[in-house]
Amino acid sequence: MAEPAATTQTPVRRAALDALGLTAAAPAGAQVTLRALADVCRLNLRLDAGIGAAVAALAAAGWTLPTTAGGVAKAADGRRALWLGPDEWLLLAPLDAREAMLSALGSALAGHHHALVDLTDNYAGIEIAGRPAADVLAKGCPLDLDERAFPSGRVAQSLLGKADMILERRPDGADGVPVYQVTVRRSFARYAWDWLADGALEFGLAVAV
Amino acid sequence: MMLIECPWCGPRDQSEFRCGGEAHIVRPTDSEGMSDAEWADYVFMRKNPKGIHHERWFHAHGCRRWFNMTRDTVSDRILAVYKVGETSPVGDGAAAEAGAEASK
Ligand SMILES: [Zn+2]
Repeated sequence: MAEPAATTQTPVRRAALDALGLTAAAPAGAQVTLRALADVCRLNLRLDAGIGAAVAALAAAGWTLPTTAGGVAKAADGRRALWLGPDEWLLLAPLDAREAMLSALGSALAGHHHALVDLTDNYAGIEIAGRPAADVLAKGCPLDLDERAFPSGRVAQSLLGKADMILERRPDGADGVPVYQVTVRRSFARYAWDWLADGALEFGLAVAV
Repeated sequence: MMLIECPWCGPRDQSEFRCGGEAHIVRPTDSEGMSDAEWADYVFMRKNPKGIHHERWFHAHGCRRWFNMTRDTVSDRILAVYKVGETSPVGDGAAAEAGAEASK
């Protein structure tokens, strides 16, 4: 049997929802827009926030960790640190920053007890926007999504139907419509998409790509 | 819908949580010197009281942290929620039970 030809090509990166072959659609009167988000770099960080030296080293590397439940801290270039638990965060950054981030954070945290895990390919992101977006989510999510309890800049882990979900309320859209980012395990991407699309049908569903 | 107060996340729906059974069961340190009956008691025997019960709960679909809860098993009322390693601030069922045993 012949050896497979050596290749220098990198594998083709396929987003979790590519298989759906989504095309943009904006029917008249559609109030909810779903968008399959391109992959971003996602690093999970476990660290005792009481280790002052580690927190200071992270700050020097440009990362401030939110310490209040459900907090999101913004850093340069659209990077964000999401609170997942009292000693756990999800760090988001542009995909091409992955290698640099891993090495920068690795050296910042060297010598401190921590765990830094690259979960970039573990998750898929879906954006849901529109005035009734919270009503769609509330069909399968027990969180209190009222403006007072879950304003822009908040994150929570909860359920969407049967799937674990990280839900982040993003800054409102251009005309003040609420925008949410749903992050699920990659294998739940299609489930979550179908679930949101079904929930949005009664409000008119637009698809953005 | 029942709300449970996660010590970290605040009030969340019951569907995000899992119950981990009776709390404050300490793993024996002298395991080699234990009889089968003592092992069985540690592994299998639980209180199952009618009334105040201290339990372990897990915020499975939220922050994924374990914590303790004191609950009235008759009314299902949650009397206290406290972190692992802490003592329940509510009237201690365990202490009351031990007292009853001693007075027999
Ligand atoms: Zn929690």
